[in-house]
Amino acid sequence: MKNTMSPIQVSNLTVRYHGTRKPVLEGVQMTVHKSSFHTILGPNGSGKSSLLKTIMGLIKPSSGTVLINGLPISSWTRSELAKKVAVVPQSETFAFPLTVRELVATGRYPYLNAFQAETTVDQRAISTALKYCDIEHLLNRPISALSGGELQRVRIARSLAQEPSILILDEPTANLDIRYEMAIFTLLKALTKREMTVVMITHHLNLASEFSDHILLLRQGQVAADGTPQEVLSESILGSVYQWPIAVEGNPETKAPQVRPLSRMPEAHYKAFDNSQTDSNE
Amino acid sequence: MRPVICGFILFVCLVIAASLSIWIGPVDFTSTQILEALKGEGGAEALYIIRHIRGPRTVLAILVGGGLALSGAVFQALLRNPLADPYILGISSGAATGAVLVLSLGLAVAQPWILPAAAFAGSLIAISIVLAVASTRSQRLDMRVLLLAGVVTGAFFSACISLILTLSNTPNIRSAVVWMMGSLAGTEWSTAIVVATYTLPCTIILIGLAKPLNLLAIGEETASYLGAKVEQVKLAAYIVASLMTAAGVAATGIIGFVGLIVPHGMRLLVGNDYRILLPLCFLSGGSFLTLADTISRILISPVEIPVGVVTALFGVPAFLWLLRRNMRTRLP
Repeated sequence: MKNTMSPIQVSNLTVRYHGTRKPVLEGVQMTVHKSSFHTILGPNGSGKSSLLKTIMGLIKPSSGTVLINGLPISSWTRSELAKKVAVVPQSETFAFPLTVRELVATGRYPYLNAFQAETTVDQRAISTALKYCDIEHLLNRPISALSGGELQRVRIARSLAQEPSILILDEPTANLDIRYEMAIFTLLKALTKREMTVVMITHHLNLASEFSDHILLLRQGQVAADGTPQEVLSESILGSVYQWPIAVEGNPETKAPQVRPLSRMPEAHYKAFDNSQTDSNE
Repeated sequence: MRPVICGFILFVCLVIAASLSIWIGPVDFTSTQILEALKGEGGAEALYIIRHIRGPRTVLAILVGGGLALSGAVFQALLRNPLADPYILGISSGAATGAVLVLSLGLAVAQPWILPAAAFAGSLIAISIVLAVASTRSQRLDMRVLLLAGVVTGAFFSACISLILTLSNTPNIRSAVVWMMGSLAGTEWSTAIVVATYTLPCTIILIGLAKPLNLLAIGEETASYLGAKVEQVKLAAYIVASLMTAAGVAATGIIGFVGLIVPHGMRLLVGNDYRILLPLCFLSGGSFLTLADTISRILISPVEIPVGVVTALFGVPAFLWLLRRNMRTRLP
């Protein structure tokens, strides 16, 4: 295998659910570079989560291909894939109050046979994951007794316990306060320095701008823009994708583009805004 | 508590429960008489009662109790619902309907395997109905709809049992009360052996699925990302757990709440890891039903009450307590 091989390569991807006239994804191209922080942005219902599920093989595309480390997604077994790619889904509802240790330990399942006990390698992976996410003190707490921010860090710790080379997260900082939000973005950025490839779905344009190496912007299932934060986060592109007037300024500290929605919508935008409402339900 | 110690204590409990079940009954025996009879010696009366009446009955209680507890725990993971139980989901009633139908048609006489097979078909029909009603467009199961669908489906199949038994003229079929409240009375070795040939392989298969069941209890999407073959595991677990329930129901009738109380007690004791939970559920489910059966024989002796009455007397308060607690506490 070549060292420059892209961890995730999506070509011409089209996904159509049964009984819908419009495809959920249409002709999507996406190349994720090794050890990069790759962000997927887009309005509600633009197909971000569908793209994630298709990349992971849970949705079969109507056409197009997904390559993980150069191999088609269909050729991966689920357990081999779980050793390379970890996913933190948008939400999980738990039926039983597992402890933090138990939940994080499920990250080692791809490596263990049915009744195999954890080895020292597994235990080291778990304790490293707990340390990275700063949740060692919560070890024996039931997950029902955690705050939203704590639970989110536990779920990320589980994905790190998988020791993946690719980490995909679907809105991991939704509902978190500034401190946890920054802590998670900083952690993920640090992981890319340790050769992990991070793909994140988020609505947080400004943090995406600060932390991402690359941004893919989706609109109604199609790629609206694809490139560096400077290339993608422009007033004209964002204004047309989000159907709201937006100002973009440079962050004086880091020079990254900073996005500021204008507080009033000019008269001319109303019509376009009304039209877009009908087909943007998630 | 450490799982190995816990398993050992529960095994001792099972031995004690089985001993009580063999020892206690309308006819009193001394311990020497019982030991002699188990070895195949001693008086003819003791030999017959111990080896051919209480023996198979105790073995069947262990198999059916263990099987019901285990399948209850499996349904709880599959449906991600701590209140799931083969009885509450209507699966047991579906199985009993299948069994009653072939008995009333006189089909089970020629081929003994037809009875569990018909019960199995009935259980699959019941679980299919409940799942079809409770699954919404977003593929997520609403707990309240699921329970309601199960209870109503169970009521429908209970009505079917009464109807079939009313219309049937076949002699020697057990009464509707026995089918609907369960009984281990009159168990013969042949029945216990048939149930064992279904229950033991099913137990091994389900315990073998413990790891993916742990993941399914978290969620199907997450389970896929953590390496589980979700659709295969779900299909296998539904079929095997239904089959095990059906084999028990075909032999004893509907015994409720074993699959609810026992797994819940084990969760309190050892936590929610199915690799530990499932074997312990089988052990303690066996003890539970054996004790319940012993109580059913001595509570208003010499009259025997159906064992399902005893399990319901324990099970309904436990269910109501769990329901209230689940409606109040929200897991993330």
